[in-house]
Amino acid sequence: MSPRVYGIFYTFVVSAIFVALLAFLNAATRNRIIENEEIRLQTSILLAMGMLHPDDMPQRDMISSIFSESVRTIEYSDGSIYLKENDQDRVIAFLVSSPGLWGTITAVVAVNESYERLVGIEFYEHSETPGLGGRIDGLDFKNQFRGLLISEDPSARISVVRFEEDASKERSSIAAITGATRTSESIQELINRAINNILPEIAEVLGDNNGR
Amino acid sequence: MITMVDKKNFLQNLWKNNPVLVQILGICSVLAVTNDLTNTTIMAIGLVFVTGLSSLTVSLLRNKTPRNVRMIVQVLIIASYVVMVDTFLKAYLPEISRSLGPYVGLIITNCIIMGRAEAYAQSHNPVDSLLDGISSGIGYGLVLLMIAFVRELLGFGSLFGFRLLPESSTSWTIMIMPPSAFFVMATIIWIARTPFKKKSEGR
Repeated sequence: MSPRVYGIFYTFVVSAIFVALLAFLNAATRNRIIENEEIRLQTSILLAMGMLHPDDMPQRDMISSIFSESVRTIEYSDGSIYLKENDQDRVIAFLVSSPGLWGTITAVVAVNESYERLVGIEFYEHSETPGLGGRIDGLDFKNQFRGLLISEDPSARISVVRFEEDASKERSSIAAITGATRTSESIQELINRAINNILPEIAEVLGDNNGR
Repeated sequence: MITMVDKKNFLQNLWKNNPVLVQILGICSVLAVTNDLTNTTIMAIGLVFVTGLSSLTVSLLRNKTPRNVRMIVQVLIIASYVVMVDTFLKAYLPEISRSLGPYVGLIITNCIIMGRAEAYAQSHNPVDSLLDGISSGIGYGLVLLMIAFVRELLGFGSLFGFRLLPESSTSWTIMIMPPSAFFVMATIIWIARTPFKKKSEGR
């Protein structure tokens, strides 16, 4: 065999062996990776709905069963609606994406039955600066959205104020993250988009008239 | 058998001939993943695994591999091990996989691995090559951990996520951002290389 042909043949054989190895590994882990993604989304939805608390997280296997027992998923043309219903109330959750400082921020937003208040928010994906904008993942920040009144003003469904003492749930305002003004503005935009663009569609799908 | 020479090589890779401090290789990931000790540790373990096994494999195949395709084969081997690490993290440590983001995949381009494959594994026996790969990986990991120690402590006030500094202490935001890795790394290189420099001047 000439050296040139040997070189090609050799590279081909080595590639085939390693590709086979990786294909095997992929087949062995694929289901678990898909499951991980599902559980992560379910966790975000349950956290946004206030059904889980970060300090008291159940085992990995429990999350799927909690989710399937208590949350109903309705698919519609533009996405999915997640509903938690019981005799007293109903919580509606959905995914919303909006540009952040470095990349897209995707969050699960949950609103109450009357579409008047936010039940909670959970950031599903973002690439904000760790330690600055990344603090949107912090409980202090997210707790500001629990029971926050949604404003009637379509250009500012929530307002972002500078100081914590100026923030008020009844006045639809939250305190900005110090040193991350742009991220805080992005969150306002994200909520505007959720309430102005997505919520009316969801209300229509659900047959409710009170979607704004 | 491991000879004395290779024991010396093993130790040299950790400090005197450290890939990051002395050879200035693998800088990209050093700068990118060192603001959190947990991520850094996982990254370092991943790199030790990849450098060790790719050096071993390159060495095992060294007599069969034609010279003109050796680099293609090396990259193929390195990339395969990196994909294995990446897949493993995605399946079993999804949180860490997400926070390391693209940097696990970028281990492929880490010059330390290719450098060791070319400079050592290509011309040494498999056991020595494995040890050389592992020690280079550890040498890289040590520097990473030193940088991450300073950055996480000053940037977040914590180590491995445990808060150590009082809440009242001001976090140095710059320590979380990429530029600080340059400062910290430069300082470490300066401190580490001063003794070598004095020795060589003394000669």
